[in-house]
Amino acid sequence: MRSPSCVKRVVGAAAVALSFAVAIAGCSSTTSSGGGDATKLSLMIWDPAQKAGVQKAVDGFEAKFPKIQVDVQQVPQDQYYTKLDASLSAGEGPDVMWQSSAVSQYINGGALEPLDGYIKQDSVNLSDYASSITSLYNVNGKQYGIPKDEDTWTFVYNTAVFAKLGVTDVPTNDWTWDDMVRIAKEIKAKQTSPTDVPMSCDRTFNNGVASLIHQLGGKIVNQNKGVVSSPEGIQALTMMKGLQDQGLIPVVANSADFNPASSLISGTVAMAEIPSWNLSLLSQANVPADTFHLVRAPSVNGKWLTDTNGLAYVMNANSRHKDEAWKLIEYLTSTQGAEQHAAGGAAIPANTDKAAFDAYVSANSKLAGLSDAVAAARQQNYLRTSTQYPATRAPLPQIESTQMGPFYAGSITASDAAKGIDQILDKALG
Amino acid sequence: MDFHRVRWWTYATVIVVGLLVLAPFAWMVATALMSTTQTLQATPSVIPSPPTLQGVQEVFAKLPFLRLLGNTVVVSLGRALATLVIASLAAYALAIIKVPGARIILVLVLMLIMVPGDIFIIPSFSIMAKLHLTNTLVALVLPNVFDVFGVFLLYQFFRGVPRELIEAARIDGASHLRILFTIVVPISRGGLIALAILAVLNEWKELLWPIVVNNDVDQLTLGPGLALLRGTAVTDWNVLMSAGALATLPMIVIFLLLQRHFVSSFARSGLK
Repeated sequence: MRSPSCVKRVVGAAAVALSFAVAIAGCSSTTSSGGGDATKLSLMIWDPAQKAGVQKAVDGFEAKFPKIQVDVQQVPQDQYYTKLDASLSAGEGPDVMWQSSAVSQYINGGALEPLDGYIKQDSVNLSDYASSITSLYNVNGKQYGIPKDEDTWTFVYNTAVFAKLGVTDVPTNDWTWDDMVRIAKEIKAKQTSPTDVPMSCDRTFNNGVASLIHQLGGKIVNQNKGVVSSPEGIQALTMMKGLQDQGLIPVVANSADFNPASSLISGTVAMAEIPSWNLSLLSQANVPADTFHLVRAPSVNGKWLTDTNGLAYVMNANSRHKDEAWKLIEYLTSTQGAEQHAAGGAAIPANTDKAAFDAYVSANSKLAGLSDAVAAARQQNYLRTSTQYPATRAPLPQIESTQMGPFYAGSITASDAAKGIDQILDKALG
Repeated sequence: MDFHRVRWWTYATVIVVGLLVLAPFAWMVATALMSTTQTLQATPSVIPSPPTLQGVQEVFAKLPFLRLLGNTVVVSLGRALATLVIASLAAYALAIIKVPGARIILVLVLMLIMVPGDIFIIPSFSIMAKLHLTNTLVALVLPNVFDVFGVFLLYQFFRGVPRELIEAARIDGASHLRILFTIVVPISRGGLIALAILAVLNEWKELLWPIVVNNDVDQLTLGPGLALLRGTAVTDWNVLMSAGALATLPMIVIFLLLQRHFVSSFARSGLK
């Protein structure tokens, strides 16, 4: 049936196609490693807002170690872990990378290199970093990451709005929950536009409500079980709903479209709780310097706990240049490296040296009170529930939609919502 | 002539639907012409005042835009060409030669269509890594050219080629390749054009795979390039929208040039 000449032609065509493919491969593969005996390292990060800062620190590193070249690869956050999974499982991947609270699965999979030997060898002092973040990267007694940043929450008020409304009672760094309610009520009394709201604070379970429970002395998870249906849990839920019911924060129906940072910029709220990763939005806003003033969260029973999480630099266990990769991690997390990174302005350095923090403050010099507020916030914080118990991360949207939403809308009681949350947490913690 | 008269409500519907389709694009272009501070205004304004090309300048400062565009064109055309060759050879074997087990192969092809593509990312990466092709443009094309949907589509078209034509050619001594390229392909032109357009569109839209397999921004296409501009917490929307507008332009030009083929080939294949 099939003639031999046909087979020959098919084989010939395939050969042509193959050689074509090889030719393309030849032209397009990157053969730019002509830098003599320089070692090439790759560093993978996800946040474009921090790329400039990281690049600055990397430039400092390359100046100190001219024989090492570092290629900074920024990958969008949505694809970051997929790319990491694919490349690490194929025995490739970046030499040094960012990691978050998802770190434990990579450690259990053997993808990351323990750093204890290097830490000892160069006598790096881990107490120079925020301890809660450092401990996050310590698994089975081994240290896998050196912390790079630490996030936190502060309250920001728009001084122009306070001045316009004639409210002289402003938030301070020693304010309490009752002070907050009093100030918000005065603002509400003086606001004229029906769309304005006095303030906003984070009302989500994982951030605002959980922090309030901690402030009241309660816990979210105890012995691997959800314990939100405690007196503290119910009180926290009731306090948060009270703010809404008094019209001091946006009602839940409007909260999906509500953006605290832009509302603060436009002045439709007078004060708002803002996460540190959104502060650079306020720095960039087209308003006079010192329009925004920062204070720590209001205290309840003398405590002002807010949740925190932080990223770390970790090393690929497959790296071909582990000594150089360590030098890079050490430099980036050193005071000098952290200072250079912080000059980019987007993340609070986990390195607790004053110089690093000062660099962050001066990069955000438009924000008044930043230094004191962030310093106070960092004194009293706890690891975010989804950070300390990564298994609780996945059901967070479920908690918001099936419990918190109906609770704020008034269709279920605080104790029902707390019970529902505990059930969801128990299932996740299984 | 009454048959051809267009009624007023046809115009009304066309205008309303047209506006709905165009509005997001208009917003994209408007945002592209704003400065970053203008995009942050609450009660967002739709009209840039004053319009500025700051966003466009930022795009060129942050991304090797022309390189990305060039890569996208090369990779899309390469993908379309390779897909056409491979899919038409496979469809020919299944529909015209009817190789032994063609029906089983066809069922396998249909089953593969039902598997979500993301499942292949990790194995594909491993294969590319073994071939030392990661971080190359070839890696963007190669795993996608074995397009099972394309095989199925062309199989349907090739089945419609009259048997008599092929038998006559066989009697005259034509080889299979000759029959494929001189008889089957010209008759099924509509299907091939539809497949080529789909291949180009799919490559233009590709996001996850290029980001996973390639590291250097020089080896990426436009979609992932745009994704690099999207911030984790903070995004400069004017820059992102400028890049979006610039990336859409070539597609609009291509569409205007090939409008006739688009419409006719999709009408024939019943696809979009």
